[in-house]
Amino acid sequence: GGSVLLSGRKNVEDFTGPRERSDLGFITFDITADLQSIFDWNVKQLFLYLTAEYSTRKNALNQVVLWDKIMLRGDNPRLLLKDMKTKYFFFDDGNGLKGNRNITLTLSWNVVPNAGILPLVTGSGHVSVPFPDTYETPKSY
Amino acid sequence: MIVSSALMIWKGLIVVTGSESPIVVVLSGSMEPAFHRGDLLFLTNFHDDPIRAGEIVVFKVEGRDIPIVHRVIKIHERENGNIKFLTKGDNNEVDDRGLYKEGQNWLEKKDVVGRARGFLPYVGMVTIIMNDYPKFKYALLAVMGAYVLLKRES
Repeated sequence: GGSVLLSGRKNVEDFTGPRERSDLGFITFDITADLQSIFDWNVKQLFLYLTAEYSTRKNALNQVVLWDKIMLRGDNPRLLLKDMKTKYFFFDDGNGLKGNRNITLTLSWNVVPNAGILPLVTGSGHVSVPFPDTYETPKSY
Repeated sequence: MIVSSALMIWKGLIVVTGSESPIVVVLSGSMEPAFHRGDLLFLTNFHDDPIRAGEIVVFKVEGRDIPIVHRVIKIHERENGNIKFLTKGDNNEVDDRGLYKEGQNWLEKKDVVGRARGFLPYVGMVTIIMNDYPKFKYALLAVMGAYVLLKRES
C-alpha cells in the first residue's frame, strides 16, 4: 500500500444542530501520503476519504466521512496537506462528541479499476483525536 | 432453450449473490469519474456484510423503482446491529437527503439492493439505448428471433 501520516488537532465543539440539538465537532488535520505504489496498470482512480470513527452511548459504532478527494491516474500521487478544514460537517447522532476521548481519524482509499473487482483498502495511517469536555461558545461567521 | 438457460443463470445469480438485482446498469453521472452512464455493476448483498463508510451501495428509495448507486458517507450503528446511514454521489455537491422520501433523513439496511463488488465499463449501454429508443429494442428482438429460427432450419 502507500504510506500515510495523519495528525489532527484543534478539536473544538459547538452546540448547534438541525431539529434536535446534536454535537458538532470541528477538526483540522494534516495529511502526508505517498500513494504511488497503488497505481498499477488497472487502476483508473483512487477515491480517498478521511473518516472519523468513534463510539457513543447511543451508537456502538459511528463513522463520519469528513473529507474526500479523487485522485486520477496521472495526478500527483503525493499529498502534503496542512491545516485542512473538514469538507463536511461533523455532526454526531446525538451528544456523543463532548468529552469523547477516543475519536480515530483514518485515511482510506477506494480503488476503482479500469475493469474488474472493486476492493476497499484502508490506509495505514490513523490517529486518535480526543474532544474536550466542554462546549465552546458559538463563533460568529 | 436459450431463454430458459438464461433465466436459470439469472435466478442462480440472485441466489448466489443474495441480491434481488445482482447486475445493474449505471444510469446517471453522479458517480463520475469512477462510473459513467452505461457502465455495468456487479452486486452482492450478503446479510452479514456490515455497511461501512466509503462503500458503494445500490439502494432504492421507498416507493421508487430506480436503483441509485452512491457512496456511504455516514453511519450510526447501534449495539443491536440496527444501522442508519447517509449516502452521496461522488460527483454531487450535496448528500442524498433530497433524494430520500419526504421526512426521511437516513437509509436502512432494508433499502439496500446490494454492494458494488465489480464493474465493467460501457457494457450496459445496450440496455440504456433500448430504454431510450424502443424501436432499437424491437429491432434487436427481431434479429434475435430471426437468428433462433434460422439456426433451427440448418
